[in-house]
Amino acid sequence: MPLLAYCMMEAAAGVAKPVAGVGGEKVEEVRDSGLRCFFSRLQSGEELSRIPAVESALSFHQVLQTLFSQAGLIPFRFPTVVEDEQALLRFLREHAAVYSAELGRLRHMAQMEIHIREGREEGSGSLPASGREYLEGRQRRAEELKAAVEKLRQAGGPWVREWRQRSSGQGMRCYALLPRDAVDAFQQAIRAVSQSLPGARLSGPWPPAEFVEIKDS
Amino acid sequence: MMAENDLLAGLAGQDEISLLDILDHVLNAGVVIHGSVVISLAGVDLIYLGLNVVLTSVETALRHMRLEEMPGGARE
Repeated sequence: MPLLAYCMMEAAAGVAKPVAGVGGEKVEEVRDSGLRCFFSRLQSGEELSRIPAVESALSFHQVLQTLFSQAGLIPFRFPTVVEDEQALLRFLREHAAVYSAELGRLRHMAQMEIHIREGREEGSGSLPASGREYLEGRQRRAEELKAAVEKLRQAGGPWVREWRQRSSGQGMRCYALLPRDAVDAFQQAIRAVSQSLPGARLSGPWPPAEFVEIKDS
Repeated sequence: MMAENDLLAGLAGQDEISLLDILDHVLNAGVVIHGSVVISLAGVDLIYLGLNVVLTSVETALRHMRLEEMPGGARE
């Protein structure tokens, strides 16, 4: 019977399982090699496609958040489906060392995110008069974006253990790794600065998936 | 089974998180198991899925495609 995998935790983490997961199915777990892995059963391979995708994704998120509110975890990407319990156990055994190390490192951490949308020029409805004007506009927006990122990074600096950022099609995505007990202070500091940055939006706390160091084999 | 609205109402306490953020996260963040599954209908095997990345957002898919187009097929 196929399984939908939610996340991994340290086996020693004392958490209460959510009652129901995606599709109302019971959330179950396996333990092996010092890891605890949560999943729910799918009656068949096509069961997932019967549930509206957004509803499934929200249920999946709710399971993760319920567990993450109690202990550190590494999520699986939705929808990660494995053949059966044996396949999940095999995966845990093969990767136990690396995931245990990462769970230990990130045990008390949370991830906050700031999405900064690139600013628009005034009168941006009209096309630039020349290539030079277009390039100058792009350069100006890139510099504004860079300055905004730096301002936010500095504001959150006292609490941030690691910072990552990458450009998206519409701006920049910034990821901050910080201790769970610093989330409120970080939020306040970022909110205070982001009031002057209309394109910036803060979200979190999330499980620190962006900071999990797993090399693809 | 909970309706989408009920689920969103249950998440109302997390005022910093929008539906878009949630979808972005569950589809783009997390460990991917390299495996496979066969989707069957009425006992007949219909579809074989390689499970490196089953479903992802457009942004992530484009990012992967751009990386693969780079010389040497660099990956994240």
